[in-house]
Amino acid sequence: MVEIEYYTRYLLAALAIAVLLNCAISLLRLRPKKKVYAVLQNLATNEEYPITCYETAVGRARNTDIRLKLPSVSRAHAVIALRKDGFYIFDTESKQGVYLNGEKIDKTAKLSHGDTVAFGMEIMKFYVGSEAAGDIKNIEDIAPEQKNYSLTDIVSGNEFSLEGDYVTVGREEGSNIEITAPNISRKQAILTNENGIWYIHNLSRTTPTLLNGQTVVSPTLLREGDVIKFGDFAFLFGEKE
Amino acid sequence: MKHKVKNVNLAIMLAVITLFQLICAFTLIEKGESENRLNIIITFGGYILAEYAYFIGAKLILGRRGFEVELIAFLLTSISLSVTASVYPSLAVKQLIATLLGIAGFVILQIILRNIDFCMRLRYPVAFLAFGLLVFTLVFAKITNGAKNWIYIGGLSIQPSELVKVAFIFVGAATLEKLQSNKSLTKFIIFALGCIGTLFLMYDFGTALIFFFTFIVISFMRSGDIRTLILICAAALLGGLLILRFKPYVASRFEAFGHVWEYFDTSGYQQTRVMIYSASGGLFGVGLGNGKLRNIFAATEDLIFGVICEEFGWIMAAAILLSYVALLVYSIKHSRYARSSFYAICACAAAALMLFQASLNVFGVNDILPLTGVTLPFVSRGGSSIMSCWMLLAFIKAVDRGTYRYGGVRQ
Repeated sequence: MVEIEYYTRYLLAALAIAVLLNCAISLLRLRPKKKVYAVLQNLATNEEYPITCYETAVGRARNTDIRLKLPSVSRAHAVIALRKDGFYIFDTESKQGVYLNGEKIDKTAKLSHGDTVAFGMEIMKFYVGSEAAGDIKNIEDIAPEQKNYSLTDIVSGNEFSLEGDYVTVGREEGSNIEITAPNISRKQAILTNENGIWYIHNLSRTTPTLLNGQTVVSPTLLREGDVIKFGDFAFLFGEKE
Repeated sequence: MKHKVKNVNLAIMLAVITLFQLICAFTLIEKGESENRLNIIITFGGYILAEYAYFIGAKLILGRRGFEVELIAFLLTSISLSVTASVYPSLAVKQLIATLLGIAGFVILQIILRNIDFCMRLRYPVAFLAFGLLVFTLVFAKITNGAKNWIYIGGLSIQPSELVKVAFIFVGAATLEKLQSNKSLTKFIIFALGCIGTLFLMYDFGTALIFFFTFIVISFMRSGDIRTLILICAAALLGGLLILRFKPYVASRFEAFGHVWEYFDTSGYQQTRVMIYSASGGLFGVGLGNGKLRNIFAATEDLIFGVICEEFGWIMAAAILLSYVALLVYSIKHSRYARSSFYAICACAAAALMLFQASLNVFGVNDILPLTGVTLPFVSRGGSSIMSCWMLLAFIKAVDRGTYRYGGVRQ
């Protein structure tokens, strides 16, 4: 009995250490996946500033995420925030204010793909997605050639390639993109491919499919940088990496 | 080739923790008196059931991934229950109930934190409730062990300052959303001064120090202004020195600090015993229930680190300390990519608070810092303390973007 007790103390210590060290090392080593949600492009210099956080501080101070070393830019000038229904810009009491498409914003405003944002004398273009795509005016701009597209899960960073004539999304087993969450419909949506151009169709009556914060009511053309939401799951539509 | 870091395997880790708990339970049943066996079975049985219920719910129903944070908390709480059941078998069930309440608080707080707008609406009621609770304690509490921080209701004793820790971080971080158009820290400073001042009047200096440290962390994360923080720290230091100068009885509580061996049988009694018995534990300890430190006053609360060193060994004690560090590093890493600064501040403040509290406890019992009587997070016995720790864990969990994503996606 004494012998068992003697070895038990080693076993107890070994078991506890195995759990604590495994978990601690995992926590120390794991890194959240970095994802470029949007890009700010300086119109004067063409310099690009990737937006990789849900909240990105813009200003002259050293602790800002996007540092603009100009006297017309306040130390903490603005914050660009990714919310449930898209991007917003907040003026953090800057002296010169924030201008969106030439108009001064009052505290906050919603940002859209291709918007022009001015922080003091610094004028930028805002693009949703991983690269500055320039102004989109017609279909040829977005699909000038046959590209391979994908949907990227904004939270996990997982990329789902879009192949074939259509891709189904839903809770149903066998869906091309299967989302196992209670608030997702069995047949949530379908993406169709027409000559290299992708459209999204909502199929759910209970959970709306959102495209850049707007409910999809009819087949809608997809553009690079579009954010599609099925319930709690947000995806970025873009060229396959 | 770059090695891909993966989350730990939940099934394996859970099996290891269960084995640990079962061995502890059988050891205690074997050693304990027959009338305590039922208490031990209820304590470990109830705890293992709660543990599995949580992980089944989170993994199979909600489809979550990444359980390192909870696994650490469950194991540390197991150690706490084992030591409690070993030293005070009759109090083990009470500790289990407090733990279950804490786990319930952890789940409820995660649900509340999901909705930031709701959190913003709650911040003023929570602030008034928290401050009111401290004032109530100051007025109605009796002095116990030198501090006026316990309230007795019927057979229950509650330490409200432990629960106010959760409210303190919640309020401090919740006012941040306003920061995007309002950089003022004034309201939070008033709230913090009220809480810390009340704790001083209660002679609960350890907790006051923890609140002050948390205040500094939150203020730094909110403003990033180091100069203001240096001024605040200097003012606090000056205030502390003035208190020691004009209230000598405060200083007398720390008279043994730095030379406890000169007060071997008086005010340095606990620290000297901790050092003696910790040293005798060696790398793997003398075994659960075989230690001698357990007979010293507050062995399962303030001196728990010494008991772990003695009965479980130094390696496990070091692993416990590493896990607090890991929680803080995890919070800092995820804070940059959190869904909101609110989550980032909550998580960093909660993890920093735990690490700071653990440091005060460990360095205090080893005479590196004055002994302030604070608990070791998750491990010390105490209902209020364990509930507070589990609720603080909800803040750490909320910083992970994946926490509020239910279900999995696959192609």
